[in-house]
Amino acid sequence: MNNTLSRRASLFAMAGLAVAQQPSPSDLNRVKVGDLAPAFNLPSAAGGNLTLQQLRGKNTVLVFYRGYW
Amino acid sequence: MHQLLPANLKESTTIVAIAPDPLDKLGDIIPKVKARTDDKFLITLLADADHATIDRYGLLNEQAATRGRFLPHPTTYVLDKKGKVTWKFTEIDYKVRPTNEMILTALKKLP
Repeated sequence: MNNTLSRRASLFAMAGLAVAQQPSPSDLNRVKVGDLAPAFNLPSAAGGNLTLQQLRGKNTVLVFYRGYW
Repeated sequence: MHQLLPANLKESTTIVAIAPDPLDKLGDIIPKVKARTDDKFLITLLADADHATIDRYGLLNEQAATRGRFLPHPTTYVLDKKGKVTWKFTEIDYKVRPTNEMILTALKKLP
């Protein structure tokens, strides 16, 4: 019984840790001047996918906008 | 924006815009932009429908997310040829955007 409880407690603790280690989706200082931009691979309106890697060799203006709504 | 670039910067610059829209909604903005310019539409639009990239960049608007709208805080980065951030503009108030001149100045500083 005690064993099960403590096992459960440690599972909860691990789950909590996993949540804590997940970087916050809302941290405006995450990507700063001087950092390498984080990788992405996203579908393009022009067809196919585009990765950040494919933009290497050109200067890029990367804009996040709120979309069509 | 792209048509404002001087010829030498047009050659060396890609403009990429990421929105939390599904792919089939993404193109809806193109006629709106075309209505305001004679030039070709030269911006690459990317769909981040599950907002995973927005989250990875830390740009999720948490307030809107609590209402079920997964929007980014509008943010512009200028990246050099190696993908390094050389300039950034982000603002909690989505009505405050960088001017084209600010972006041009950042681009002109790049080799």
